[in-house]
Amino acid sequence: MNEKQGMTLIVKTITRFTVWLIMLYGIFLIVHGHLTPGGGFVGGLVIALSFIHLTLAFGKGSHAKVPSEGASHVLEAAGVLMYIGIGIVALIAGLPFLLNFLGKGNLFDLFSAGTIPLLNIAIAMKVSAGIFLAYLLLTHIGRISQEEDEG
Amino acid sequence: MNLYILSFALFLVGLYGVLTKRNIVKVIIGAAIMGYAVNLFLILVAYRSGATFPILLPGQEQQIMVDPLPQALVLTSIVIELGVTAVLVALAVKIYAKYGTLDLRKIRRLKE
Amino acid sequence: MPVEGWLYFLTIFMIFASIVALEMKDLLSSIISVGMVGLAVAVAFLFLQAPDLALVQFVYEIITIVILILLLKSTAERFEKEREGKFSFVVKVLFIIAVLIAVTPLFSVLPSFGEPHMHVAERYLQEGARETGAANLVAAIILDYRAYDTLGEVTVLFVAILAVTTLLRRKPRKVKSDE
Repeated sequence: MNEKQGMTLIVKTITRFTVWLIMLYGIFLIVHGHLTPGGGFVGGLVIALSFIHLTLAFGKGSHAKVPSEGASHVLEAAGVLMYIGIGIVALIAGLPFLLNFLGKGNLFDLFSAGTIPLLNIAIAMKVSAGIFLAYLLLTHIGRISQEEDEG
Repeated sequence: MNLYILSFALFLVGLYGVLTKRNIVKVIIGAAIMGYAVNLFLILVAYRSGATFPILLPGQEQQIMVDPLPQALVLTSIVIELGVTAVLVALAVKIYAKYGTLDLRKIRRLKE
Repeated sequence: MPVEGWLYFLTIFMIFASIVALEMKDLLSSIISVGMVGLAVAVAFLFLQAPDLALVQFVYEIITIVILILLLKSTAERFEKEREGKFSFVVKVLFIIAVLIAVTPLFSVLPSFGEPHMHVAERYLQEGARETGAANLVAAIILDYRAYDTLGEVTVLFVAILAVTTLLRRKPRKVKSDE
């Protein structure tokens, strides 16, 4: 349908296989951030890279389901609000701001370490949406300045 | 000659790029090199010879570990560098849209 | 080969690669050279027992290269045109070397390589896993002991992305809001 957008058929076919693996690796890094190397920052960056990969391979305005600019804004702000919200929940409970108030669980369990996995998810939302938003804006401005030169 | 002085030399190479280059792309590259040098220096100070990474592994006794505090601070610093690079690139795109060049000296002339 | 030898090799490689990156006339080649510097930093982090940082540095490097190539793509410049004269170049290099020689004695104050001061870190290493429940002590520090610091970092990144959004706001949207 939109064969002229993006790169060649080979790149598109390979992208269909690889992009889910990249995204899955990003989610693994976020969820296991308190057990293995990784965490919210690098997981968010890997997820942003998988979106960038899709956009580069299929071109803009394709069927690929990447967040639009508005959705990226909302996700980014939601990440920051989630981080602050976790802090304020501790404050409401009468504890210091951003204290690790949930149960610690057993060491080396996936669901352990109190609020640390939640904060990792908040940071990952913020970083991935923010970096992808910067990428989207930079690709748009190239097209806009060319249109200004022509017009 | 030790490793601290070598990483400081890397910092000075980046400073040379920022101070003397006329192309904005080269200035952004110089700023990135300065950031690498500072991060590398902080982690060099934190290294303890013969120690392992600061992550506990299941079924193992706790061994001697390197200092985790500078690692945590540098982790945030790298992500901030990414934001700084994005802002610098956005500024460069706006400069190119307004003046039609990336040469700092020509921009200075055009202002007068 | 001990860790120190590899680190000397990597640091000297970084210095040469960054000089190449700054002196290359072709801008695309210099962006790729700075990518080499970043990957060498990632390998150095692995040797220094910091796997978290090596991962972040690796991904950061890829995104930086993508962003810089986008900058080149949206402009028409491919080469650095003007060069400076030989005299001013020699003066600047001599100035840099003089600064290096002048600052070198200050590094003797620092703890020697491989023996850091660990007054605070000892407590994190001993009590961190018990107090926070996280096996990754770096994550325990950034999200539990020093969560305020991370909140500040998130705010800085938020403001940076906000600045990019303000700088690169598209013209059509502005016209629509005026209507």
